Amino acid sequence: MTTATTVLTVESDPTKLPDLQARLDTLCRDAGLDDPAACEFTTAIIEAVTNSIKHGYQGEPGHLISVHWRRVHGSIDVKIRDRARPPPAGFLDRTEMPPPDAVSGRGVVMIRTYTDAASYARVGDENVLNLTRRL
Amino acid sequence: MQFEHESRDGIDIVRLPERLMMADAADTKAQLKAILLKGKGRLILDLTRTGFIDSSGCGTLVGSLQTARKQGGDVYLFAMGNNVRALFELTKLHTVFRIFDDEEAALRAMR
Repeated sequence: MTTATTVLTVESDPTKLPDLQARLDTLCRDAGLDDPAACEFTTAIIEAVTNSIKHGYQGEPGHLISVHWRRVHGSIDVKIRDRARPPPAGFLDRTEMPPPDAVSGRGVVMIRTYTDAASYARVGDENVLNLTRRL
Repeated sequence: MQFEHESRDGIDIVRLPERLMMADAADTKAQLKAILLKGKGRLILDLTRTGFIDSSGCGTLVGSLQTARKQGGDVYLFAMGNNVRALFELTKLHTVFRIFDDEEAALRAMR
């Protein structure tokens, strides 16, 4: 089953993230993910949007980030699109969690761990991060 | 966001909100640091309501732990839900924090 794409658009403003988290959590549960899986996939998407705000737009408000949500056969497929500066090459390659006493560096590893597939492409002037989670 | 905060026997207890994420990371970090520096560096965090923590939230907790330990104190946690516990295991944060089932157990251990 493939569903229509739901698009959630947020400004590059961290204060918008709690509302996005709540909406994503509902979408995950409605799609059939159980409580732990819904929390994990929501976390992965929030980490990606957080990276866009923090690193892509360098905390500058007023830009838009869109989350394109679609159920495709046995998976949820999410594309996160922005027009921020591109991330460094290979940024998704990190798979090792930093030491537990580190104050940062966990986000990408959480994205990788909480998704079944994650890939990045620069399409024109857009960054497109694809995240997939099997149902 | 203002946290619920109380002191018992020289130990600060803070009730954390539903979410610990980038939205409030700087404010949360500043509030916890102020509580630690004003007190004795002994802090217990109540996670009863906290169902979602992202990497910024993890950093905030670790930062508080570092502040407490510089004062010779510590940060204990209690009432951790399953999703947060799984995150702690993934990030190995469970190896640097002492985690208790309830407030009384955390208080007994910290006294």
